[in-house]
Amino acid sequence: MDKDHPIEIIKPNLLLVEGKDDVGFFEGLIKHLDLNNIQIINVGSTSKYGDRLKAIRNSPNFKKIVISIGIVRDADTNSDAAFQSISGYLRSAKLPVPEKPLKPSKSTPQVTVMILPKEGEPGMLEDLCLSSILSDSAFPCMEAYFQCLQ
Amino acid sequence: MYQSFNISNFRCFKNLNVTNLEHVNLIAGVNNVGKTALLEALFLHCGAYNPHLTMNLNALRGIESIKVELGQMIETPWDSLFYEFDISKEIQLIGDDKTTGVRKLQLDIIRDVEGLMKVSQLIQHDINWTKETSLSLESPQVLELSDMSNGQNSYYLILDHKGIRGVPIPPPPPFPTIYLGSMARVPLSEEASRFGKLELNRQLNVLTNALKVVEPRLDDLSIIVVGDTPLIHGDIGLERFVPLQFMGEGMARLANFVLAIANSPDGVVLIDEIENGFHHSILTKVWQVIGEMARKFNTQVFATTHSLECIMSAHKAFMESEHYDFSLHRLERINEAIDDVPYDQNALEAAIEIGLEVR
Repeated sequence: MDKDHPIEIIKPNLLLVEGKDDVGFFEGLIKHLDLNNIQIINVGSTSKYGDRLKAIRNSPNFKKIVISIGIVRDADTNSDAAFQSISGYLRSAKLPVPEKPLKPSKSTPQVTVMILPKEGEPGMLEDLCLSSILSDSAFPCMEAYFQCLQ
Repeated sequence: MYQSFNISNFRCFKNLNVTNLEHVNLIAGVNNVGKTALLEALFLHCGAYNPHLTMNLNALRGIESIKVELGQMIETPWDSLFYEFDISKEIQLIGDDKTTGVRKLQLDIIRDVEGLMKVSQLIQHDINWTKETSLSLESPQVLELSDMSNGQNSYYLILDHKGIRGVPIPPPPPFPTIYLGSMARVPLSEEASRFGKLELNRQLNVLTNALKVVEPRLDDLSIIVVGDTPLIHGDIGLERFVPLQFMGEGMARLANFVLAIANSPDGVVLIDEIENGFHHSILTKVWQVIGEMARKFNTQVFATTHSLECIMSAHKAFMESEHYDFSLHRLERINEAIDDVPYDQNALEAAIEIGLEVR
């Protein structure tokens, strides 16, 4: 922890992500989209996720200002299992639980979960990023390079 | 040991419920959120039957005495105890204690004729305490402290032209309690008395070992009277013993803590701004000492802090100890009310790992 600058909740919309790379990606995205009322918090990927959600819920100003929480999670091997895992953590932290990915919860703060790369598919954020450049003319060269390395 | 504590209409609290209390409890929060007021409420509740303790609270805040001139409208010393100074609403303090069960105390100011008549009858058998205020009032002011636990037993503090009197004699409290304020120093004579009790029970090594955490050279302790003042001195290998106060504020303060805990077995110690006087590098060791002492003497500790380092050090110390019998409570003002936000071990660990603010 940075004792001189601990993280304070200062915006009404929280985006919880799983690591420094995710932080970098989403900071770039919200800047590109010119969204200035979202605060990104790196929760990491850990079995202590539930405790970390509790800690966020306990934070000063959470009750006063937070109106929505977005949670981004990699599917890894199983998209459904990843969603159920997050739902369990939300329940243990006494936060609202959405019915399914990308559908906001009914009660406040409004919680929405996004499983990457896509609902029903295994993978992670990096797969989503890769799929966005498939049509790029340089892609076959890059693919060949990695095949060669393997 | 308190498991929960509820406050109504006291100081800044309309209603505050504090749960999940542990052996050692640290209270954090921004300025003016009620950290000290929570300690004061506990102090009154621990005192149980003694309304005179309300006078001690002002002294602990640095308000030594009140002087009022004849004929002027005055505010009693107790008005500030009531939420928004509204003395029409009684103060209620409810503690759920493992030993004594649920005890409810109520504080009222008696203004009605019937109530004053009832107290007048008791005054025939009153007891004079030391005059602490010089007052001239239009009518007597009476504070009633009621113990609602088994029926209702009332104890009165009367303020009139004779001074302050308490009636009837309150019974002793159910357990010992010591309050260490941030502003008030422990009188040296009181410190010496606590030292003496420890020595009497052959437990002085408890204090010596605790202070060695701050000063590893410390070998022995003794009370030496300088002038007419008893001072605790330590042997740190010099030609002569040295007063604890000359070894730095940290030594004297830690001695205050250990002596208070050791002199409150099965009771409660309240410490305001616990981090004062300590360099951040020894805070973890200080908390280790507090934890060990609290367990050894079965004393419950409530402390307040402004310091994030203090919180992190406490967490570290209790993580490394045999039992994590510690909890952090953050008081936060939400929509004009003050709430308690408790952190257990896992929540506090998680907050520290992510780097979240917890004060």
